[in-house]
Amino acid sequence: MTIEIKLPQDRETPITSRQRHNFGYRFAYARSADSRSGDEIGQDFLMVREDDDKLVFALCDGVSQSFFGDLAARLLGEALVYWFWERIGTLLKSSDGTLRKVLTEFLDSLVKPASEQVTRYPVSSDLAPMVQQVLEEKRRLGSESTFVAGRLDLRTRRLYLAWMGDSRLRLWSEKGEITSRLGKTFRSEERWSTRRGCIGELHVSILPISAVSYLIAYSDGLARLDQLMTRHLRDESIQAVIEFSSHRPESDDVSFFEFWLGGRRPPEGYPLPAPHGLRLEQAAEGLRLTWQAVEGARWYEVELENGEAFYVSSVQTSFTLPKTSLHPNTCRLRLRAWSEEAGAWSDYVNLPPEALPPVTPVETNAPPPISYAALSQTQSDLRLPPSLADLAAKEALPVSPPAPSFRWLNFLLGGTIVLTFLAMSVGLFWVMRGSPLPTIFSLSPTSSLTPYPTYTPYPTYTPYPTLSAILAPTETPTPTPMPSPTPVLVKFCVLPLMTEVKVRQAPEVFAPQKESENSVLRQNECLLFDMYVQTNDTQHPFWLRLATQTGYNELIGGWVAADYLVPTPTNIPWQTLLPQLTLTPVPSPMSSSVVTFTPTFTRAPSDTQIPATIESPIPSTTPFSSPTP
Amino acid sequence: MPYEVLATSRSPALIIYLLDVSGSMSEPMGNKRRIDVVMDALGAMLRQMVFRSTKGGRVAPRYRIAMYAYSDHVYDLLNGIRTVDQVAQLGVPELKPMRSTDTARAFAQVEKLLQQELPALGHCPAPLVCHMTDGEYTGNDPEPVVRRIMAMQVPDGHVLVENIFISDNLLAERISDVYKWSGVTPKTKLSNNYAKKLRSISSRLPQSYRAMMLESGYSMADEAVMMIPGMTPALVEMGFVMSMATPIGAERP
Repeated sequence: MTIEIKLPQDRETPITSRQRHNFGYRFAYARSADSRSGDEIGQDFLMVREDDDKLVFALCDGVSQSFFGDLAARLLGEALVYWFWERIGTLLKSSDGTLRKVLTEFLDSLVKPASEQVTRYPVSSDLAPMVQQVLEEKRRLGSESTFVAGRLDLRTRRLYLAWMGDSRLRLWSEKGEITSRLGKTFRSEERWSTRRGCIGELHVSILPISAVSYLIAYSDGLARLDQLMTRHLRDESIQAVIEFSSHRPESDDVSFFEFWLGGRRPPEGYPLPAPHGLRLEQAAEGLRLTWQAVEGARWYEVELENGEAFYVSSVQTSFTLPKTSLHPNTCRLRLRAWSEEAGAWSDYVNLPPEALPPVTPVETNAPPPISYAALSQTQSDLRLPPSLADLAAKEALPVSPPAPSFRWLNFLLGGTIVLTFLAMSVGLFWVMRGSPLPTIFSLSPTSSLTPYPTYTPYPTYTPYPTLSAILAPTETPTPTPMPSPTPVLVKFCVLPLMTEVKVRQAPEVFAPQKESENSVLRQNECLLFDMYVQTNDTQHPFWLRLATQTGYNELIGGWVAADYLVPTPTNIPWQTLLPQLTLTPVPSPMSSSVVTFTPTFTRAPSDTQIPATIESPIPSTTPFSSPTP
Repeated sequence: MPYEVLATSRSPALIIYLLDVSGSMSEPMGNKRRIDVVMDALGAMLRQMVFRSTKGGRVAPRYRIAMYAYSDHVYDLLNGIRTVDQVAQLGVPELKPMRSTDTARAFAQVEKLLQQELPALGHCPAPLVCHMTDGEYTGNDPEPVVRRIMAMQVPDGHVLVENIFISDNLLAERISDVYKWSGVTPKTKLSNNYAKKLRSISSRLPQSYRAMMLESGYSMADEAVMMIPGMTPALVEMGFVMSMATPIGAERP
């Protein structure tokens, strides 16, 4: 089962957790007070994708001073999840340096499609001319975001992390916090830009999961956690910090993500009891609240009825309310003590009506209270721009601003859920002992092989719009039939030193040539390719698949050794741009002399009969002379 | 820590501009009149303010602005205090040179405004008064009233006073690159007695403001004061940039 969670940017998501067999995780999202009061989308972005043996996440913090920072955050977050899920491929056993190099290339390669989206992003013509000028200036500078992203891989038993900027990434082992292992690398000046790519250094780390108990990532809107949190906290405490932060004047967007290894949560603390003896009295400087100290308190939180909150040091047991915070309709307050965890609230204490001024000279209304979407809500109201994972597309899709909700999406989603349920039921029936289905539908292991696999570039990627941007994630089995985005195409030319190069049916030198009288490419001939695969052949490790193109119908889907080709332009990072087909050895029911490979790519809806396997030669340790491809 | 309160929508920074529009402001400065240079700098400052306040397509009201022009009278250019998003709608007011330079009367108006506003600014950044002039006062000495203003305070710190003095030859040395210039310090040699007086009634540049100036590419010294010799349009613009260097929320990601 693959689960994808993309938190909506136009509303708050309370702390929500999921426990899987081998790991668990939780997440939360809240917009800044300004964004909530203006009912605008937040500029943080958080996305998670997981299945039984891996978990990929990206937490991005759009730079508010840049052009619509939420745009960069979203584009980047989707691209990072895509990369860590689909493209990390052969790097799973690589070193930090290789990971950094390849991911940097990938992030830099996003500049062109991302810039096109920035260029097309509409700015309202209703804005004042000066504001429009400023936005156009920002558009020239691009949209920017910081990020932390990673992949927990239970197969390789490694944790892969990457980050730029000052979004927080903290790690704990069984013995305590080990964040220092990541070094002083969280620099506010570093970020990713739609115009410049990586600004500063991309930081990566690969850790054995045996060294990690849990990981916590959050945006700087939760900077309060920097000092407050020294370990895993209860859900209630994380939510309380989010809400406290959201009522501060400096309130910023907040996103939070944590995962832990194992079948249950890390140990949690206990909340302090509610304070007692609360008294309000009129003092010369204003309304003064006093209470009895709570043992173990590190600080106290005073909260007015309208949500406005105040920090009080634990050495004090009194607090004078600022006159500017007194409003006619705010009639009571309450108090709680904090250790690391949030304590229990006291009962409300009423404010004396005579203490409430009728008006204040400066409008300092508290922001609207955080309102969470119902957990049963299963769609986002946002119409999100196309994903950067579509960077393959030669023409970026137009970006639309947030749009109102569409009721029909409810029906569509409902239908999807019903179909998913039906599919799962059939699947269960299939695996039940004695079920006739496998017999009825089983295919001969040899009868349906076609010469080459017809995989789509982005089989499990959800491009746009994403219906899984929901609080209760839709669980969909992999493969998931998705609308296939426009494939990436890279042009390669036959090397001048080659007279001709053979086009094979499969990506290896022993495979037969394509069934064509003239299945070769000539010297300097240039064609489009849409995919590559890395094989065990040391002489011809990389093979490229010919894309659909006019004039070459008989060669389409054929494979050509990459070392006989040169990309055009020559510096294009084709290994980053093109989707990679990964072949995973599986036990073969056939002769032991044949190794069968199952592609990890998921097939897309196609009229073509898609083979489940392709055949590959026996890996040989005997040197042999490679035939001319 | 003084001058650390962030300018946000809920704790906006109050900035009061006091602009001399005396007759001498029609004198040339480069190929423009001084008053036109000031209007250009005001426009650039306002755009920068909008730049810093814009999140997505919305201008957050993190600055509140009052703008007075003065000659022999004081003119309220914005008809009261306006938020930055409102001023962005209005644009830069047009300034016309008039007659004398009653600086004391202008500061008295500012003092009155601050007396009204201060009680409600307990949670806000310390207000700032940005005074731009090109010559000596013609009425009463403004120093007493300016000192009273500088003595006013909110929890974030005393009211800040900045002076931009437009003049051709205030400093002994020419400033070739404003971005490398370290600013006026108590030790800087000034060639004009009125400039020295203005320096004495200019606040010391707070560290948080200095940090913002450094982030904007300027090189203000640790001991710099909030006085700018407006010898060139670039320096005048720098003066207005300084006026809005209040730390702001969400400046970074």
